[in-house]
Amino acid sequence: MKTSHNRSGWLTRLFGAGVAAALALAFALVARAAGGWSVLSYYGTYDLKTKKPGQPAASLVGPKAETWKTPAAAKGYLIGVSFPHLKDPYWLAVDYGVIDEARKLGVGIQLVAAGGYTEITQQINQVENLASQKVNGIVLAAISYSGEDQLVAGVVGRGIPVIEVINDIQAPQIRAKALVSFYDMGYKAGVYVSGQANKSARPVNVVFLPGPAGSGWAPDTLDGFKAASSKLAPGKVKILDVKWGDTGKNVQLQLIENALATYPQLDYLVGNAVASDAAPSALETAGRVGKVKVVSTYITPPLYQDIAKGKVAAAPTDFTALQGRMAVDMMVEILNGKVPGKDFPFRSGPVIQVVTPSNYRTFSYEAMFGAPDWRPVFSVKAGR
Amino acid sequence: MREETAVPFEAASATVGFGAEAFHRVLIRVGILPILMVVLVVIFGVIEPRFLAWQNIRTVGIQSVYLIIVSVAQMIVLLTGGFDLSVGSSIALTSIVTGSVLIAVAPDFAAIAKAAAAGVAMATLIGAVNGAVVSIFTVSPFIATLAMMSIASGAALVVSGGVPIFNFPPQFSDTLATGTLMGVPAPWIAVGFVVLLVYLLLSWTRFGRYLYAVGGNAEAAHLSGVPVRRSLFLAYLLAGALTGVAGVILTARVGSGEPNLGATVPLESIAAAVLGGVSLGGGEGTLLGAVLGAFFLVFLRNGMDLIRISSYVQMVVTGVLLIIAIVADRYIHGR
Repeated sequence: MKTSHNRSGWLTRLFGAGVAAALALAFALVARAAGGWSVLSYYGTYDLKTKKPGQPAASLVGPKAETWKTPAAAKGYLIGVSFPHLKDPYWLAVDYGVIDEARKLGVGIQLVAAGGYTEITQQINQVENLASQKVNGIVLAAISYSGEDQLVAGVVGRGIPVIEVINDIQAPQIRAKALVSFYDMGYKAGVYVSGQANKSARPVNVVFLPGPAGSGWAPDTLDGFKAASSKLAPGKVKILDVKWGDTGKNVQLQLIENALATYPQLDYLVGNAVASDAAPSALETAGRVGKVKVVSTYITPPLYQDIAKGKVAAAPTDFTALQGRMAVDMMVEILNGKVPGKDFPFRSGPVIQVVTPSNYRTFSYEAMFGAPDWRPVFSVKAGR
Repeated sequence: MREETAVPFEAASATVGFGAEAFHRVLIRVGILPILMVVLVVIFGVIEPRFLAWQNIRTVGIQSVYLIIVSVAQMIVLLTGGFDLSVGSSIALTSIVTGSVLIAVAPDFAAIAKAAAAGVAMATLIGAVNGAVVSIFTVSPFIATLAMMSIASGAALVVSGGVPIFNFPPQFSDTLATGTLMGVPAPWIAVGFVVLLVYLLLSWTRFGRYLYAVGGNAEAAHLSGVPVRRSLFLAYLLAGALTGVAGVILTARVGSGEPNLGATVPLESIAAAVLGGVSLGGGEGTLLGAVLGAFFLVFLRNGMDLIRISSYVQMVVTGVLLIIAIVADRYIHGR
């Protein structure tokens, strides 16, 4: 009996340990689903005097490598979201991140999109309209780095916190930022090309196609690329030409064709994802496949396919969809009464990874681009 | 002795006079554009000999096809005294419709034909609506086509969800973009076909004459028995169909259905047509002019890229040359 009791106690303990292990595993999986990705964070206070475009304010402390933690929402908040536009896969991924995270946390979303990067007036009007709709907070993806400071001041002055997502903004009243600098994206592309250049006997020749001149992101990618190559492979990466142009595929294709005709000694085409996606067919037509390699400064679903097929050598990813999630999380933290820069980072973004034909399978498609069949969603009602 | 020397002198001055007059006549006939092009070819060719390489000439030829077709479409509408701002978003919607059909049906030759037909049909429908709004409801072409621009680009985004349609069967681009027939690239065959068709319509049919009459003076045309409304409607319909052709081959060129394709085309096509001597006021202009104007814009960009003029300066140079060409044209024609 005793023996039997002892055996049953042993079995119970074993069973208990199994249950505990299963629960721990389930908890770990849930924890992974609720945050759990690697980020670089900055804490402390945001002092505008120490801020330069494309860089975090020097007054902040960081970057600190940590794992992102998703909060629980104390109430069913309504969060307003303003995008420059929602007409390409990049912003669709941000939309996915924002909407999916809001559904998970049980908060409401009211999302608006201006017509594009020229529509700053429309964005200002839309944000003011959101503020009038009694949203609890606003997540802004600003069209302009410095042109919306007044807007943010006005909305924050009405007691509505504003945080920034994806694009950097100057605004001293901004409460938090969920973003990755495009300078860093260009830097990563530069790290890749520098690594290749250091393996080569002679300097490599590059034509750089940043994207639209005067945009808030394209010039940063070029600066970052130059910084990386001059630091890591001094004198070994020669930028022969910089070709600016809108990110229409036909526009970029023409620039590439002309660059190929101009520079027979070209080794790398580096640039925006639309150019990188257009490049393989131009290289095929010009008979330069293998001679000229393509490196992008960011990644899109079509480019991901090009990488999988080995047509594009590398593209950094900023895990666009995760940034959307982080923005919602940050706003929920603020509305829960937490202090940015102290209780959670003032500025944070996923750790940039470089996607190549040999490693593309190791990254989550959903974290980069959202669900494959995702269609734009503009509003979510609070409550689970 | 004095008389002997006088004769050759007079003869010489007469020759000079005749030469200047002939030159002026040539200028009037062909316009300033071909002369500007010859000058630029020499400049580009001297600075960068690769500009004149066959590979590059072929590239410029392919690059200019799309703008040539849309500029011809634009010219047809310009002749009637209107213009079409919806050509860009029409290309985007054509691209999305073509891409969707291509992905939906099996990748064979019939699928390519179906996808291309669906794209052209979409753009033709856009042209028909433009034509109906302008001719039946007498809405100004500016407003009618501006509204259509918004509708079509919105529709392209609704259908695509903002994402390009990719993973096309390679046969599509292999046929319509890089394919050749007896050594002639497919886009050249398309542009040749379009130019021939429009030439026949403008020069050999009553409809062609009507277009000029409607644009010259719609009321006088009406009183002379010209079916003004029908001509207007058909002009926009035809422009829509031609834009669809451009949209399909541009889609094949970029190898994916793009919801933002052709955004720069509306203003470029108007500039090209005007550069080629087509009047913004209607009733005046030639097919050759529109073709040359479009070719000029593409060839200029290519040449400036090859001689390594920076992207910023290129914008300034393009604008300056546009003004010079148009002012010179006015001067030659004494307007």
